[in-house]
Amino acid sequence: MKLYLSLRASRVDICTRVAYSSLHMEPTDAQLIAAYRSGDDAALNALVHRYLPLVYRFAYRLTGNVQDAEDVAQATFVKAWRYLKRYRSDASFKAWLFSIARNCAFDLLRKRRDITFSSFESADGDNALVDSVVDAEPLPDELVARAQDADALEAILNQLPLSQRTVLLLRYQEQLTFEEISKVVGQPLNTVKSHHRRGLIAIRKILSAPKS
Amino acid sequence: MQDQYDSLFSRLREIHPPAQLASGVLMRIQTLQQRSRRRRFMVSVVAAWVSALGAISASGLLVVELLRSGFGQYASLVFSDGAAVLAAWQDYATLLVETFPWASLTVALASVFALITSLRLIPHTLTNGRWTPMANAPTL
Repeated sequence: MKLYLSLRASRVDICTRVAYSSLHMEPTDAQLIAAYRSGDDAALNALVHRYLPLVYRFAYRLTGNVQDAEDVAQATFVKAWRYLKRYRSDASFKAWLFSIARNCAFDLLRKRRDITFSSFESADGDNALVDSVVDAEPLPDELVARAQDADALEAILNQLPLSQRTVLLLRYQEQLTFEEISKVVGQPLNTVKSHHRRGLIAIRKILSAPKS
Repeated sequence: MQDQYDSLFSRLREIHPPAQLASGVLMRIQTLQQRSRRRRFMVSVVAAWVSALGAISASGLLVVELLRSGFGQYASLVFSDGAAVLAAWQDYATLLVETFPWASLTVALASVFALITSLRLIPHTLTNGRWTPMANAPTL
């Protein structure tokens, strides 16, 4: 029975490989992780190449400089490699990796004591400036046009508190769901949505402010 | 509204990692992996040595205890006076159990088990994985 099952598994594996090669399909994260756990070092190589640009971009947007982003990216993948055995294959690998990246970035910023909050924001994330607005409304086209310039948009993002900036980047740049973001930042879903709402409101207020 | 903000964020400048960052990351992981492998190798070699010494000592102690306790003499009664042994087999069995050096046997077996385990681990630490950090991503 065992021999039959092992032969069957081998045949399935061969069929899968033939199917992938014929369809030119990229292996999934789960497949690469399983391959690495089986001893295929090239699988980890593939994972690094797949996610390094995303992690680096995320780290750069949080830290604001190239050197720190490189340090965070390297620390992220080293930790991911070290704790890969603890990763559960039913969870999103991308979300898991970004949670490590987020923690590495925050640790680095904390060491530099660079985690600053908006002068209007309390330690709980309440912002008197934006709390008066009930909900995030759609951006009028004229406000969207003000953010035409990439530098201007980056400057706007850098004005946001780190908690809101993190959520917005994960939502709109990394295309994570709110549930995944909740796991990345380690906060309840409602808190994440609150940060998201407040971030959009803050962007709207900054764009609405008269140009100096 | 979602599309508006998607469109807004799509205007952010593309950020690309430096060209050598990927190889740097993989080299770092490889270095840590080799360091970990060396550490495991040293630990298994030391464990093998210690358990070998322990197994030899424990085996010698077991033999000494066997001789001292008289277990050997009692056990030989089966061959010299089998009828008497059969007649009082329960008392005889109890006598054997009481005189047998169980503690020494346990220590000896544990040492031998540790020796076998560490000897099995040594080749595993030597052959576990080879890195090709500059290789392209594999495709199936």
